[in-house]
Amino acid sequence: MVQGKKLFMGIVFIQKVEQDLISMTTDGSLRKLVFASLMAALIAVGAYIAIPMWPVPIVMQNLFVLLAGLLLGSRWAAASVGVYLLAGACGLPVFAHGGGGLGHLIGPTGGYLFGFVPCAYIVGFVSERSNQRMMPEVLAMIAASLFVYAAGVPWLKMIYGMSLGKALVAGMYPFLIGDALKIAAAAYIARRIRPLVNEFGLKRSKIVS
Amino acid sequence: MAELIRFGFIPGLSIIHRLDPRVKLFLIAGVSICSLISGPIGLILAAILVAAVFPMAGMQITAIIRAIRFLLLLLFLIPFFRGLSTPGESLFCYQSICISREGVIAGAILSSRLLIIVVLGLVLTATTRTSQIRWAVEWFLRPIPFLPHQKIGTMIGLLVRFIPVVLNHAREISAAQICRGIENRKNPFYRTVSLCMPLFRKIIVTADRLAMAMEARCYGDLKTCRVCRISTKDLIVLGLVLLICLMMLIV
Repeated sequence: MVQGKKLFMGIVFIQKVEQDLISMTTDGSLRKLVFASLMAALIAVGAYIAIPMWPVPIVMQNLFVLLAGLLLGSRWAAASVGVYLLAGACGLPVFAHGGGGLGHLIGPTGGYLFGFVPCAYIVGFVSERSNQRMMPEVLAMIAASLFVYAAGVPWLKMIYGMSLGKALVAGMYPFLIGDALKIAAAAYIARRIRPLVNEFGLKRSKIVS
Repeated sequence: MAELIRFGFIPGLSIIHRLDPRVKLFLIAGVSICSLISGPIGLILAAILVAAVFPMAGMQITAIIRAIRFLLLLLFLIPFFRGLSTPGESLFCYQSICISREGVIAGAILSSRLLIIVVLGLVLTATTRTSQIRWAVEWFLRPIPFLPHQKIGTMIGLLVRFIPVVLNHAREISAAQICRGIENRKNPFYRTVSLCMPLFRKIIVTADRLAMAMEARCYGDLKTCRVCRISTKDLIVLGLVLLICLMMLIV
């Protein structure tokens, strides 16, 4: 009787595994998972290329967050940034200057890091619906970059106890030109990379199935 | 690519290295939260705890300072700015700008809180392997519904695996281009584009190959996990540190 039950459980488990495999490999979610991890790794690499500036360093993270939104779509982009933040919070060295740990998330520049999640989501949301046209995507990227500052500047203000004007001067105005360049770069890169991603990555499994 | 990741895992056999990763993660989160809430005396307790943990983890002070020097600068500036913006008894005046004593003290407490949390994070990074951290995160996320903990664990593993891949590809391509005389082109825009495009192409192909390899090996969510048991030693450390946390909150 017990053995029969065990056998039954074993069969149920195998069926679950089969369903799981079929769903993961045919709907392309495994491929999306790998590409989302790749974008998260690119965000981490972007954090290493930091130009030390006070009080917020210039990093290439934004560029890759925008690119994640453009290439992965809303949900997977947000997941990619979320996993990046989670990995950082758990102490893996993925933040600026190869740092990691909760301290970076709570520290003066933590607000910007949290702001990346809505940023990636918005860009992905628009790029899914805009049929890869340039103009709506650029507008979405501008709006999404403002979201990063909407999270980052009040945080900076709270930690340093500055006035809002000073926080804006220290934490937003110097980066606007860089952001414009990053948005232009992201649009350019996405335009050239997309055919490649579609060819190699995200669409292939759909064709197979 | 060790020069870019300045602070990584340091192999060792100390008691912190051998602690269960779940216990470690939990305790570090706990002490971090307690040091955010507690008063100055509690912070001194936390500082003593951190100082006791350091030699065990096999880290060197100079390496730590080098790893967090930029953040350190940011933290040192907090008391200064707090002093400027908070009204109160003036400590130091230059013309009409005054630094108040209350502000400096409040800022110093805040920055020492953040410093303790940052250093605890470094202790975790130095004494725990990526695979262990990944497994512990998976374990903690398991009871939360609608959250695919296996996928998140896999993504964390892949994220850490991809970083050196990207850096190595970038180095390879720039070396190849230097061989072919890219130095002769002075236009920085041209040089960036000619580095980035092959780099993206290469890493996308690499990611595609990896996905194919995972599909070929039947990767799925229901894979067998590693098993790790909490020993008596873990429980003793857990109890001790929780006691310290409690003391921090009470004092």
